[in-house]
Amino acid sequence: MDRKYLITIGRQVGSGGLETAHKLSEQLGIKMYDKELLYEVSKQSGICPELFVKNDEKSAKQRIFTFFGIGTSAQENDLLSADSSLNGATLFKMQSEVMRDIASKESCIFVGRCADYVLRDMPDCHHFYITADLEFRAKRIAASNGLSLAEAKRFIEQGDRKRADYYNYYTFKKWGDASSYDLCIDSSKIGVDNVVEIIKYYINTITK
Amino acid sequence: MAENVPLELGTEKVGKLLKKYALPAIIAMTASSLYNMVDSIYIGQGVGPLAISGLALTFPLMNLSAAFGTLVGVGASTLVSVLLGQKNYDVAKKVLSNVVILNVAIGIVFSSLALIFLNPILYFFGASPDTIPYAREYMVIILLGNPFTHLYFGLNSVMRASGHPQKAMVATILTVILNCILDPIFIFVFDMGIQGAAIATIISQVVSLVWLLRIYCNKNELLHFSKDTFKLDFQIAKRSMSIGMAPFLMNVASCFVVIFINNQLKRYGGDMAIGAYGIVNRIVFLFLMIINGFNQGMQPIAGYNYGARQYKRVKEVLKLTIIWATGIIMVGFIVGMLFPTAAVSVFTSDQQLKQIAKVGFRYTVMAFPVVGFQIVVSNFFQSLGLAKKAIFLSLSRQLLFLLPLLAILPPLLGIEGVWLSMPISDCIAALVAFIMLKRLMNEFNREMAISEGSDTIGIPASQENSVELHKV
Repeated sequence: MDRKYLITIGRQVGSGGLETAHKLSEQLGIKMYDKELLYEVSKQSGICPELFVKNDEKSAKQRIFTFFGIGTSAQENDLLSADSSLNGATLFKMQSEVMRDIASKESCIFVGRCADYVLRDMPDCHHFYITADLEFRAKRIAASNGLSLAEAKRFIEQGDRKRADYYNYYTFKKWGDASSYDLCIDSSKIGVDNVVEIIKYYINTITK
Repeated sequence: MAENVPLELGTEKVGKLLKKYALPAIIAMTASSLYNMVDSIYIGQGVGPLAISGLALTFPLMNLSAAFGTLVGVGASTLVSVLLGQKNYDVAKKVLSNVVILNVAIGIVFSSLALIFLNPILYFFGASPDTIPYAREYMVIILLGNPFTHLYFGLNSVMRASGHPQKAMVATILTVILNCILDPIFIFVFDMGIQGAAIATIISQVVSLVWLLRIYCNKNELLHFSKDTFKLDFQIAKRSMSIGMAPFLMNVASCFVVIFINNQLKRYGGDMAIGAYGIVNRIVFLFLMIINGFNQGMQPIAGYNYGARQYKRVKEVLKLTIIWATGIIMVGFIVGMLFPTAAVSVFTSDQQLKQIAKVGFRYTVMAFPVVGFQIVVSNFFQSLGLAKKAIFLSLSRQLLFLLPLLAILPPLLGIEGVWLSMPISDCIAALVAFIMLKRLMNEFNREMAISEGSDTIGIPASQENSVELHKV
């Protein structure tokens, strides 16, 4: 398995996508980038990491212009600083370029950040999407964040909406649409460890 | 900015950067304000003083039309720049097609409505039976050509966003030069009066539009027209417009302020006062546009260095821009104070109009020594991404303080009250800007003190503490 390959993972909140990525990274012996990507971009651009983190977590439907009586999404609010280098679109572009740069050098895994879209033209890049039913996800989130089941469900709902807004905004596609991915897996049916096994099997078969 | 942010923003000398980023913007801005000025000069000299008032009445209507243009143009160019950054040419082409469809549609609807209600609109804008024939003659032609105008501005701003700022600039300069040549031909040679000026305007825009269309038809360009994308996409239309909404509303607001000013001028000074304001506006506009050019140059520099936590450089570029802006606007101040008659004589030879314009010019430039500061500071907030504060500052000068003054002062002081409202509002707005800037600077100083204490915040790229960050 000397050939270079790339893995992108999209995931619903609480579906175990991040855990999958960690395990894959460990077992395949390749690097994984989740939030790490942001620090890499910060290092390369000289812009402080907090800005990227803020842009990353920005909920798209903050109604900043309520005094005008209209709601525009946070990313779209950058319009007023359309010429400034600090708007979300520019930060996203820098982030994408660093992502492509890393992807061209080494085998690695990217979690989130529209990686399937940014790297869509890269050779040997495989896109996975992890889903799970709500009960399964709520239990996981409740356990890891110390929330009640109801709170966890609200947390999931908000998180998913944020991810969808972010993805749809930058890619002009629909988040979670099966045609964006090579394989979609429901982790609640088979468990996270089996998801890891399936992806490993997929990669081993393809890159042989 | 269409290009990826270059690292030179954080290292190169601030003065050199400002020159590099501001100069193209200054040229484009100067060109577009000369464009308007030329129209006014030919109309004032070639047609007469009442025609100048008639023309001035149409400014808000033309600005309103331009506002509808930004509604599509600003949003679409933002989208195009995002899409091209990801090499997503298919969707970018869709956006381009929608720019065409939306601009033509909005242009036709706006023109139809404005043509049907032209008389009531112009009277509402401050026209009188003496001035309305001129305003009508001019506006009917402009409105008929309006869909082309919209299309030209929309496609030009997409051209700028798609990595061809030079081509966009050529198109702008082409319209200016053509207009300068065609104006006297239609006004004097064909003896068409104010109508001639309108025809010259439309023809020069159509020529530039044709040039742009030819570029967009070239299949070798990354972004070009293609038949299969030519249909209205509601998602794209909605997104472009929601991005363009804030600048649109700002433009609409400033339109209504001009309408109010014109009405107060007519009430306390008659038709001539409106013409005088039109002349003063044209002169002052030139200086404000040059400052805008400096602002556009400042934005990426201030923005990047703010993001890189290089507060010293942020302050440096702000200071430098304020100095330049104040220097430029002081030229306007000196001309207004010392040679107002000479300046307004360029536009008219009518003694009465000259007299009123001279007085108005003096009042308008009275607060100019602080106006440069005010404009730069509100743009500064914008370039740091502090949109709400930037909007507030920009509205404060043009609306918040101006409107009440315009309502209160004229009944007490007559026409002088109308003129005086502007410098007073400028001064209050500058004071507000000063206070807000002072607060921001205190914040900067605090952050600077903190980052001097520990090395973890301002990570220099060379240092090896990135390892530590990876653990997060």
